[in-house]
Amino acid sequence: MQRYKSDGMNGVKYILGVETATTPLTDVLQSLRSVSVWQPFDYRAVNFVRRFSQKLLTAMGIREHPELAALGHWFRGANLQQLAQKYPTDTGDALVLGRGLAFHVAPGNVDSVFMYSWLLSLLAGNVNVVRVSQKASAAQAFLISVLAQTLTEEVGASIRGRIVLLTYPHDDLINRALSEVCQLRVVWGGDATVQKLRAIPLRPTAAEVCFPDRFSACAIEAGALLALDEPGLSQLAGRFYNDAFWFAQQACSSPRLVAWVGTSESIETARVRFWAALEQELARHHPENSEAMSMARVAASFEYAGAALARPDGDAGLTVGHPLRLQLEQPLDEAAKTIHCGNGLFLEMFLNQLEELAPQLSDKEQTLAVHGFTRDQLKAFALMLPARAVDHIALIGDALAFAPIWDGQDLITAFSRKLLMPSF
Amino acid sequence: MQIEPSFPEAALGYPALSLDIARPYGYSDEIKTPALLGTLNALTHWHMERCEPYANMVERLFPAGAHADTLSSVPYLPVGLFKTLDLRSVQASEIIKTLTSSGTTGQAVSRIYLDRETSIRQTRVLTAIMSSFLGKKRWPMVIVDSADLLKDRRRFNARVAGILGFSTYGRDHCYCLNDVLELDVGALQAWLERYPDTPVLLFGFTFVVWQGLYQSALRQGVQIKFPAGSLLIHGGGWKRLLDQRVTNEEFKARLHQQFGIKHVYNYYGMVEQVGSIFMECEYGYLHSPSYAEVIMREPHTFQPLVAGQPGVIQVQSAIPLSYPGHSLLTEDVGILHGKDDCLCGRAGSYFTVSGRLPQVEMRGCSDTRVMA
Repeated sequence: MQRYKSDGMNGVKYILGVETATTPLTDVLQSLRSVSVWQPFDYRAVNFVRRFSQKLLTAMGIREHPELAALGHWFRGANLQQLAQKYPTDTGDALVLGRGLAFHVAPGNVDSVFMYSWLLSLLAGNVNVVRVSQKASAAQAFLISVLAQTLTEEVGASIRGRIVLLTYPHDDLINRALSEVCQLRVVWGGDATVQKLRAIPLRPTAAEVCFPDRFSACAIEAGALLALDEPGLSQLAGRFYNDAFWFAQQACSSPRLVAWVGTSESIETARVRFWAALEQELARHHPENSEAMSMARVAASFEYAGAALARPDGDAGLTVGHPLRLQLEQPLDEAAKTIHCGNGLFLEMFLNQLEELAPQLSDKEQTLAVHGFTRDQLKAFALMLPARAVDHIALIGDALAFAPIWDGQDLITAFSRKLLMPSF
Repeated sequence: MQIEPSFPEAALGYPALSLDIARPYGYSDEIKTPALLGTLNALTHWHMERCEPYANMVERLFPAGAHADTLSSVPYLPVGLFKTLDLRSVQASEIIKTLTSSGTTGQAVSRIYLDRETSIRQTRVLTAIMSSFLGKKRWPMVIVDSADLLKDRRRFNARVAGILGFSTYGRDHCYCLNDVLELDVGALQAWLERYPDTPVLLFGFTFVVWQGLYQSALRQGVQIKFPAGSLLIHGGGWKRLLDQRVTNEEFKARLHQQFGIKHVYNYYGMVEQVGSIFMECEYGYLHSPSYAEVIMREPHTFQPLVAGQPGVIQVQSAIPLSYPGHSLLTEDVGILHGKDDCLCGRAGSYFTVSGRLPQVEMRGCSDTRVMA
């Protein structure tokens, strides 16, 4: 029997960008490496992304995926134009160029944040090979079909050789093959995935950007909350709802801890008002709350209680509800962050001053959503933070909003390089 | 009549059950519930004194603590905790066996620590339950599994523990599957020739019985008839069979048709509560023995449900001393059908299991625990 030319990496399944299913990965990579690099915001990449966003926003069924609508909205033409102006491609002393072949590893379920990063990589001038999860989701299928349609249009002609979407099971051989040839590796995923890929060497000249598991919190100044009128309070609760419940509290930026700042009397009154207002938001939106999610919250509560890390309010014991709230009994530590499973569980902490929160944070923390602090207070807090702690202080309601600076890194800059030129 | 206490070790300070162990289905609710409640409260107290994380949980989450006034207010632990925490109420030096759940590759497994006393209690209770179905005699016994499974004794997973536990109720054991879990027709036929008229006992895990015995016999085109009166006991869960849309009714019908086995009894049990298993009766209901109870809870509020409403299954057992597992919230869903009034005549609550809770879906950017 004649065997098809094989490179030992047979688990690869091409989803987009490779016509023949049996093409060996090494051949695909060879051809991707020979594609020329563009400068950031090349008109061909911009036109393609703009068209993709248009198609996404008008696609049938987009209403079922509000997070994809937000993605489409973010990449609309006007925003691309504004963004392009921030990144000059010729600064006189240097030219800006894409890095080359970028290897992206997506998290378990395609989530829109990850889509932002590789569309930005395309805009930065790179050629992209993207490994998506083996588990196909409705949102993933939706995105892929819109991408595929856009590629068949005229704007897709010059992009066709610049995107390959594929999937494969756990396989270090394949991870290695991709890592050996790329100039940029972008890894989204849990700490375990990041560590696993970190162990696989890159070319000496290649760069890597990782987006591991992060923990996010929220801080509310009790007095400021008490000063809100009813419409103001309900608006704040609505914005908090978006931050916390859009991805079942599982986005890295979704707050899992609520730190209350103020006197104990003001905190007590503010909490009661706030959680009651949130209850109304939940009644209005009916977020997903499956039996398994409820079970996960309860199981986490037992772990917190078992380690004497957190306990329910008062002495009524466990009240199983959505959301479920526990009070931290000790400063926030690594264990308290690891136990948290999302799904509508909030840890609460009471502080006299915002600064008391700073030493409890670590490089695990990403977003701090805030209400009721002045910029000066936030700046004083930021200057007291431990190394690498907190990448984003946002107003409540903006925690999930995408910014081209993510996890502390300017993505367009990280995804491109500067070629120094003589000045004439 | 002198009633023999179930656990004579009570004299040694162990929480005991004040009912005759030889009557697993012989006590109505008015007698059983107060007795079991007393034991479970004693066990809660026992574990709070010996297992710090358990005491931490009970103090924070269950104000009634060791003074519950109803079975449903006895503190419970979600069964998944045995996967993430090491929960034991004995010194490490007293552990004689560690049981682990089967768990598919890559998944965390439960670790259940047994000391000698707990292990004895498990055997006593299981023996009492089995005797009520099998009588006192030992039956010639077919183990529907491969003998190879038992070669590695370092780890007791649920399947090995089950086989070892049940095999004591039979004699002249025939392991009828080969190392790839296919039916070894020759070996089984040769063994059956010794028992042309004696009913035999078969034991196996539900999906192993289905795949290794039933489907394998079909594939090999063999017809084997077991002697009249033969009896199959199987357990371990329906997940894989439900995936193939095989119901309990069909399971029984096919085994009868293919092998002439009329008596097929499922049991519901778990590695976290070995011994006090819930046996299926002739009418298809699972029965609580006097040393155990089931409570169904509403999956969002965890409030106890009355008969007829599907809920998450909580299981209680008078046995566990070496780990705090006397009251556990499972990830299974079931329906309580009644108490003390099953047509089979057994006293106690009776129920059916309808499946498992779906696993929680991981989303967002933090979802990739391991690259999947």
